[in-house]
Amino acid sequence: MRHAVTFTLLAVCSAAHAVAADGVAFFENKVRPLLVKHCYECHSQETGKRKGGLLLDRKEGWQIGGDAGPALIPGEPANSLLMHSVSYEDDKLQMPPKSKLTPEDQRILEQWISMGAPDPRDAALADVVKKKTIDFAAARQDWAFRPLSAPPLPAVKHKDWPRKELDTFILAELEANNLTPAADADAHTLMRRLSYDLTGLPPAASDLADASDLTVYAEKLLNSPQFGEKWGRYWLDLARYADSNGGDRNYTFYQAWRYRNYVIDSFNRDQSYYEFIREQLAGDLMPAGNLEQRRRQMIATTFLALGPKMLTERDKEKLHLDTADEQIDTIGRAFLGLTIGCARCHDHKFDPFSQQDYYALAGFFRSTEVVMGTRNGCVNVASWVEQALPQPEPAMSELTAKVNRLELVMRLKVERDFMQKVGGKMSLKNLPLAGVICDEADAELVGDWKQSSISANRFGDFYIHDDRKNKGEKQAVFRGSLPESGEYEVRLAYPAKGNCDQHVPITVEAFDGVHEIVFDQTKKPSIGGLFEPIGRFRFEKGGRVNVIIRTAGTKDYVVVDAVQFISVQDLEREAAAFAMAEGKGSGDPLLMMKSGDLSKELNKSIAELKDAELAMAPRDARDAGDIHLRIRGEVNQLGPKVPRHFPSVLHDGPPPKIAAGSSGRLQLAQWMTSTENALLDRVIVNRLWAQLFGRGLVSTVDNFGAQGEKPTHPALLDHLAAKFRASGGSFKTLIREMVLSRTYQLAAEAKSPRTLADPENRLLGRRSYRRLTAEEIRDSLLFLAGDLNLDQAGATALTYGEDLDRPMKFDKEFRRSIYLPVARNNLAPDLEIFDAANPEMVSGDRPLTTVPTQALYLLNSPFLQKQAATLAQQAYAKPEPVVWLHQTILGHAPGARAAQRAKDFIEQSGGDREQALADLAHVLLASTEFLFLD
Amino acid sequence: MNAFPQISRRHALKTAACGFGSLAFNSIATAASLPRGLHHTPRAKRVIFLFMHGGPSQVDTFDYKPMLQQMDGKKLPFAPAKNLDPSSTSQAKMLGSPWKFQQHGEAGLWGSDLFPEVSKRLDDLCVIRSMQSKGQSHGQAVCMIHTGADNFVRPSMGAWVSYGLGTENSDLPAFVSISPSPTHGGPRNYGSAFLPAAHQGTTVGRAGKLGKDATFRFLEAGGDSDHQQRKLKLLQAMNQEHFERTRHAPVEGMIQSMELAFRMQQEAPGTMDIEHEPEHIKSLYGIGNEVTDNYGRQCLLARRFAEAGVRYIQVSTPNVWDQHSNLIKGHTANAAAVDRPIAGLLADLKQRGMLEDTLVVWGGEFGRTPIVQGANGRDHNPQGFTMWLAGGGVKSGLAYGETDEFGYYAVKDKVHMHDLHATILHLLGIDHLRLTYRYAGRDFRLTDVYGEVVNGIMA
Repeated sequence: MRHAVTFTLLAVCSAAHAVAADGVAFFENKVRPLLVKHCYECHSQETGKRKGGLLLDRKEGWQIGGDAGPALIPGEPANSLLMHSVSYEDDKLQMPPKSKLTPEDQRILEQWISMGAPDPRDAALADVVKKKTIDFAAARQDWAFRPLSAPPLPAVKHKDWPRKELDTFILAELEANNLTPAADADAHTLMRRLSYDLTGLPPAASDLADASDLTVYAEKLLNSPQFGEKWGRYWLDLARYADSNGGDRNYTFYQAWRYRNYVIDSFNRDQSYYEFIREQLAGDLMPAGNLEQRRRQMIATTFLALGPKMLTERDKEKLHLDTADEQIDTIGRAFLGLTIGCARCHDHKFDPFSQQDYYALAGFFRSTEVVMGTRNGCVNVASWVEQALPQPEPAMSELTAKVNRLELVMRLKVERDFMQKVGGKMSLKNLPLAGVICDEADAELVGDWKQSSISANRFGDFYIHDDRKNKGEKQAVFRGSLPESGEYEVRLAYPAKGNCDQHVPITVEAFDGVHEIVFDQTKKPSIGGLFEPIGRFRFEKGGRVNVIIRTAGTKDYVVVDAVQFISVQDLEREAAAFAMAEGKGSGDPLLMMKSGDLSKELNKSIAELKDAELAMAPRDARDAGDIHLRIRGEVNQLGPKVPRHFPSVLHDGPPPKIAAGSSGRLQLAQWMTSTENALLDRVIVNRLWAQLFGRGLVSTVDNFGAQGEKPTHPALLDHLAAKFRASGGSFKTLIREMVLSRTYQLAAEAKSPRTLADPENRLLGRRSYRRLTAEEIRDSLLFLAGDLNLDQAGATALTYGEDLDRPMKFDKEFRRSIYLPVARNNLAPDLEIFDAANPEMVSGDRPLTTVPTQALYLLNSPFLQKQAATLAQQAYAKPEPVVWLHQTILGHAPGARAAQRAKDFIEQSGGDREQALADLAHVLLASTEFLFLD
Repeated sequence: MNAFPQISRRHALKTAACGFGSLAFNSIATAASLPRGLHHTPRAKRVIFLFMHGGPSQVDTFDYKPMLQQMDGKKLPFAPAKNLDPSSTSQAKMLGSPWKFQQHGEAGLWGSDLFPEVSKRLDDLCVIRSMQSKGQSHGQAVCMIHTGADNFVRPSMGAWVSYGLGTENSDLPAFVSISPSPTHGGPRNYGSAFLPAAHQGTTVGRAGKLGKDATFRFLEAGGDSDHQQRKLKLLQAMNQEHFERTRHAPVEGMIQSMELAFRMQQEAPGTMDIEHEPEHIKSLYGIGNEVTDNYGRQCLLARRFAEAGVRYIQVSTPNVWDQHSNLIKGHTANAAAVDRPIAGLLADLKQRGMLEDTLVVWGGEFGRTPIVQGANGRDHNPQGFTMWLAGGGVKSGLAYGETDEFGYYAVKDKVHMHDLHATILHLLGIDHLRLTYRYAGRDFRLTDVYGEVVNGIMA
């Protein structure tokens, strides 16, 4: 016996040896040249390319494979990714990418894999691949990520110079560079500076008349309602605030204005920054003491929904993940000064963020419903969530009912249209047909099935049957794709007849396992005479949703018409619709409405609700949960599931405990504002500093990562952050501290030892000039002519229709610029020209451009000329109109040369004195002296 | 062959003679005449992009498929693309082209009688029949063709070109978009996103219409030139004094741009005035004919901008090519409106010797399915479609790449939209891998992490 075994083994071995030799010969003659010709360009060490992480110039390369796993399974061509991609059957994965291999070349590869993929190229992958791992422990010690320190005040020589602690830090650096600070600015310059910096408006003439106490003046400005309008605007830049979607459909965000006003009010109330952040991330999930607070908290979460979205994206899972991506990108940059969005497809190239970190965060946002329904009735054009704002009963219940009804209209409309589109020869026109239906044409068929349309009782134009032949060989595979995870009833449609089989084997591959069912097709389908339930199963979006109808062991006809997946939550609605169809029951007439009527209903409901008390607030998704990592960021390339968690570099601990069915945003919000996350403080403190001093201590205010700049004054940054934390996150406290510092109150300079030694003013030894912002220019033009209306505005985008694509005129709008509708892709020209923030992205540091269009505007804008004319009319009545115009527009009387120039100009203007004054006013308003602050 | 900078220089001298700030002008002119981004010798100096918004059908225009005609009404023998209207994909019935095809010119390229005039010029064209793009819906695909991204906000191709090459004529913008669509991303498609705002497209006209007096924003001067010049003189004196007091660079920038604006005001209306073109030129473009007048004016304006040194000019149709139904009626009308103007533009560029260094690009955001939608329509098809190029360093009389035998999927020598972008930049002398902009900690490119130059079409 033993002998025999040995002998057999030997025989096998030598045979194997021969095969191996043949295999290698086959590889060398056929396969290697093919790989060299078609694959090495992108997948070999020689070319230095390893696209998709795959090398095909060595055996270990395809064994380990690329991002999507092993490239082939020896002996199993049908299950090998390589064959899958060269066959071009998947439009997402086609190799070689430019041209398909010839059928002959494909056969060579298939044969090679069938042979067991013999490959003598045994160079190891390790020789060429160095997997980079992120050292989080080390990264946590980096200046941006480590805990806040309490740096001591540095020693300085000129001890009497500092007024505030921050001055000491600034002075120490100046002294270390052998520089002294510039002189202090004069009172009028300071008042103008303070007024613009704190309210965005020029100082009132009455204030300028009494320049006695700057501290009192600063306090007055800090407490004026205009403070929130100035600083709120900065936050809106970060929040990519807009009143329309942009993206592909520029639909009006009718309810966004509530968020704008919430932000303004938060700054005016000096709300704690931490609470402000928590409310924007998870206000809907926070406890509230009263109705007012609850409303505020819901409105705050509009922040999450404001981004531009590609509403017509047909792949809804991609739309959801793109929406989550936009949120992560915004939160990453606005709150944390980090480009976390970069880690969607691979580990961050420069910063300590893994792809794992990204999907750990994405889980929170994919569990949050922002996009849903349909805006115009087309399944491909999504809408977004709007919820009733808390208010006293019975108004609350009435409004909630209207919102729920709108959402129902959206669903019904999509379902109805779908029914029309799949052809319409069903015997039952009134089937609700909710959920997802796959017709037999969508199935992958194995074997020869016969098409038929003899029975009128069918879904779509045809059904198929096995003709009672080749039993066991034939099967029909339905691969569904479900919009959300949950429990579904799976149903089969088939025209039941006596000659159908009573024991049809059906396999359902669901998330909760593989289920084998035996199904009787002689039984008349119970649902509308068309569908019969197979059972209820749990499915996951993106996970497998397969229903396989087999013929093995059957004798009679196996018939396949369609498969339906209906969420168990829709069953009640379906039952009501059935009852109505049969003349019983009295449900909502919507359930029976035809597609055209539903369209009208949809438009009517949207129009009716556009000025209702709603918030554009997202909510936790019904199928909240962790999500899968996506290989190379491809929506359909699932990697492992990643538990929701905070970024590893900022948090060293176990993942949060999140209740089932909850997004976990509340935990995220709490962690975000916890003392563990010192980055939040560093980033916001630096932002405030940059707004007041013209440049951040970290000059790249939106990027604290490796690609950003290092802080010029790291100790000062931590000092301010610690103080901010100690103040409970009070903006006003920090801003007061800064504007009352001596550093803030320095004079600007043209030329000095400081400008030579430190041209960029990194050491802050002097004041930096700054141009007025777009809003400051427009608001000042209104203010100076006495036209500005200081009332807070409400829904200013309401009257422009369902999208904001048409040109908008604001010549009758006299309120502050922050209240003008912000139409994405269609910004008010007066603001856009002077670098208003692009509302499609986080904009913590508006670019400053100097372009001819600005000059054309200053020369030719009718608005500017109108304001100039108004000022001229007022000047005309004054004893010294030229002086008055200078005083009013520039904040000071003209010097001798300027006065002479103006006088000459007026005299040479001919007879029309009022026109000459209007021209002078125009010139003053267009002058750089007006546009730039000292 | 570089006639344009001279125009502006001559003009500049004239303006400088008016008296203010010749110093400032010189610094701008120098910067403008040195293209900063050239990586290699360019084959084209400028691009005219004729955008067919909505997506014209490849199988009814330049991609002749006899098998599709033969199998009209039969079922497609392979799976149709995903995410389309189930009414077309579940049946997947093929729809033969209602138009006749014939071969044209020496090269014998196929063209249908939808485009009789352009077909006569097929020997000048390089027809890419294997285009592929991203986005089954207009919103994504329109952004994709213009910005190289289907889902995120990115600078448009014209903005990248402006950023890479600067302007050839300092009196005009480097990037002009004629009558762009406000929808499907609208200004994003000529926007600069995170690039400096100076690179965004300047528009004239809107939504496919030029309008009689279309002009750049705020170009129209209030009051006569003398009046304005007096104001400008006072203003520049004030600004100059302010600059001397502050030495703040942006103040100086403003002084310069005031002069530039003033010159633009003088120059641009002349460039945009097509009324003084000779009659035979106007009729070459179909101007005066009701059907072709609108697009003809836009094409002629494009030529004038090209002549004046604008780098990147886009001429868009309105969103009219989207024939989900009424294919015959819709495509017939759309083609009739643009056929003669486009052929006229090609002829005019050629007779002026400008086609050598002007790259003309024609196409929509995607093509259309060879299978029928509804009774007589075609759905979107980014899987395989046709665009053509002409002039500026590409082979003429070439058909490059192939779709399958029914014209559905690109199968041979596929050219992805990223590849086309890389190729257009290449022809302009720019390496798409090296034209980058650092934003939010990352170096961005028009082609993201994709794109390969299509060497097979280089002349």
